[in-house]
Order: sequence, then C-alpha cells, then structure tokens
Amino acid sequence: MKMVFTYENMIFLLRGLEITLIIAFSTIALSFIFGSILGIARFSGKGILAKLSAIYIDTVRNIPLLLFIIGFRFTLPLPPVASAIASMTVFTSAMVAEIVRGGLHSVSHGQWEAAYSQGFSYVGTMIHIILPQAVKKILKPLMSQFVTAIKDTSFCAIIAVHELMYSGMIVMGKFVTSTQAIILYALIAIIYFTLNTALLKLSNKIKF
Amino acid sequence: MDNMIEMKNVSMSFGALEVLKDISLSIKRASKTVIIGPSGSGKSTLLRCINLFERPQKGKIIIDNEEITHLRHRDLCRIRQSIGMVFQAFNLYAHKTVLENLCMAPVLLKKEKYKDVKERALMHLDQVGLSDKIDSYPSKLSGGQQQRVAIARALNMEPKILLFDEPTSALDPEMISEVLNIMTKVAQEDITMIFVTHEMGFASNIADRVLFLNEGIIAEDGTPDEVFNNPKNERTKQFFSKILKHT
Repeated sequence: MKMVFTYENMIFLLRGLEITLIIAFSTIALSFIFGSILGIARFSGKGILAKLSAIYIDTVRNIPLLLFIIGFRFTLPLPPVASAIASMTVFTSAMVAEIVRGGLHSVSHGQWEAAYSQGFSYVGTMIHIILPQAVKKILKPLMSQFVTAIKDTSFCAIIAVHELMYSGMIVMGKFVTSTQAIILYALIAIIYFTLNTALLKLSNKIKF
Repeated sequence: MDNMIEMKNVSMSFGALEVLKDISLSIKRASKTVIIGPSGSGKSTLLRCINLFERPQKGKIIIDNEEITHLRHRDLCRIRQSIGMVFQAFNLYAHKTVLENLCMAPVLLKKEKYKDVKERALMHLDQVGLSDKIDSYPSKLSGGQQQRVAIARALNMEPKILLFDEPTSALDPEMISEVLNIMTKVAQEDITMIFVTHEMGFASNIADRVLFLNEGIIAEDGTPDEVFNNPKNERTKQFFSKILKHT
C-alpha cells in the first residue's frame, strides 16, 4: 500500500493550494470592487445604470456558479486560471452587490435627511455619512461571502484547473484503497477548514 | 422686505391626496412661529417645503429674497446650509461623536477652519448643557440628550432659519421638559424659527405667532393669545377642547 503523506504528494497539494489562493483572492479583490460599484448603482435606484445593475445581479444570482465556470472555459479564449477567476468574479460580484445594497438600505432614512438638511449633496452624504455606517454592517456578511468564494474555487476542478481539489483528485489516481482516499479527502477538508476559519477569526478582529 | 420666508400659492399632493391647498404665508425675520394642528393636517409637509424636502407641485418658496423652488441640486445644497432642521427622531450621525456631529458640516461644507468650528461647537454644547459629552457616541446618550445635541448641531451651522419638526414627540415625558427648556433658551437667539409641536405651553411662552393648520389650509393665524383663547374657527375650538380635556 502506498503512503498518502509522502513529500511529493504534499508538495503537489501545496501547489494546488497556491492556485486555490490565487483564484480565491483575485476573485475576492475584483468582486469587492465590481460588487461595490454594482451595489451602489442599484441602490441609487434611478437611471439606466441602476436598471442594468439590477438585471445583471438578478440574472447572475439565479444561475449556478458551475455553469459560469464551464461556460467561460469553453467560450472565452482565456487560459484556465484566468477563466476561473473571470467566471468566479462575475458570480461573486453579484453576491457582493446584494450585500452592499443591503448594507446601504440598513442605514436609516433619517441619516440621509440629517445630512441633506445640513446641505450635503447626494454624493457627499454617501461618502461621509452612509458608506462609513454601511461598511460596519456589511463586514460580516461580506467575509462570509469571501469564505464561500474560497470554497467555491473547488468547482474549478471541473475545468482541470490545478487548484487544491483537482490536485487532490490527481493524487487520488495513484491510490487503490478507500482508506487512502478517505485520508486524502480528510486532509483536503482540513486545509480548506483551517484556511477559512483563520480568515473568519481574522475578520472578527477588525474593529471600527 | 423684512420677510425671511415667503410661500406663494403653494399646493402639494401625495398622489390623489392634497396635503397643502394654495398656502400663502410670510414669516418675518427672527420671528418665532408655532404650527399646530391635527395629524394629517399638513404641518410637517409645510415645514418640509421650506427646505424643499418636499417639492410642492405649485407655487413659489422664497428664502431671504431668493426663490428656491427651481434651484438646481447644488444651489439647493448651499441654501440648506442656512436652514437648520431638528427632527423628531434626532438623526444624529451614528458613527460620529457628539463633537464630530457638530463640526462635520461646517468644516466640510462651509470650509471653515476646524479650530474655529470646534470653539463654537463647545460654546453651543455648553448652551445645551452637554459639555461633558463631547466624545460620546449618540447611542450612549438618552433621547433628551440626543435631541439637545441635535439642536446644538443645527445651531453650529449658524443658520438663518431653524425648523423644528415635532422635536419632543419621540421623547419620554421626563425628557420633554429638558428639551423644551433648551428650546426656550434657544428661542432667544436672533434666528427665524418655526416649530411644529403639540406643546401648547411652550408655544404660548415663546411664539410671536401661532398657525393652526387643518386639512391643508391655515385655519387660524394670530398671536398665541388670539389663537388659543379666542379661536375663530369651529375646527380649532374642537381641537383645543379635545387636547385640553385631559390636562
């Protein structure tokens, strides 16, 4: 029986983890930017921009991520990792947008009126009064969405991106017994778990 | 012309509901006006037309000889800097301390020096008796204290006009008097003030003029003594008999 915990296997999995982190954090950074823009645009409620945002968000949120991952890989001339990042960003941005919009809505209307009564413009009120309060409220749901994004990178295994999950499946090919398979999957689960728990613990430390 | 606020033939509807019906009104500089009336009579809407929180469909609103009804957003923001408002729900900026609540707008919008604004803020906080709370967040203050900070915040903009929209309606009975005391003190200032309130005692103490609004029409207009003691209108008499029955 071959050993699961060999040096080669571990290095192989770590390389996979590296790709997972690259996809996850690129997705998180890009989704944060696009999601915030979309969320604010939809919140603002008027004009063509708000309508387009709403259509985008509602469409994307109602289609499974896996379809985006596969669809992008087969239709766009992008290398596998880039395609994975693009598809996951398209999906996660819509989620982030709804979290941002929810946060903006949770700031009471009275805060807007107080700012307007003092002479703040719409943009000034947004920047100085509303966004700082919304950020506090969306921090937790946002972090939870980012953890989901990290877990969702495992879907990219289906387009043969060498992230953690796919690397695990390759290593699996060398084994024959179910015990070995279980040990390997448990190891992968522990890696995801540790990474995400650490991230959530870290986010709890953020205070305003 | 010594009118600070003029309304000319102002009409306002929400859908099919006509809230203000052809209201014309002049408010003198530095005068203190109290608006009373049953709920749904349009008093808050009338007040909120003065800083264009509500946009009337018809009529003109003139503030300090400048018509504001057709102003662009940017110019309206400039006008609003000189029209303070105190709300029923206080509406202090929840993420800012008391001092920051007072200093933010003057520094950011009127581009004043922070040092000068802070000095003035401390003076106003002393005026409302909250000098010891400058670094507190609004959530740590009682309703009465929050409203006193809100009054100080409005004063710190050095407004020409101060609007009070039912400032004591959300307060516990015990806190109403502390806020009314501050408002009575503030009413000595040379600012044009309009109060929408149900506090008749306060009204008769400080008001030069009382308006009784009913179904979007000014049904009564006179000194506190004229309106409270010799109302001409049947609806006014009925209103007073109802609210005074239990006092």
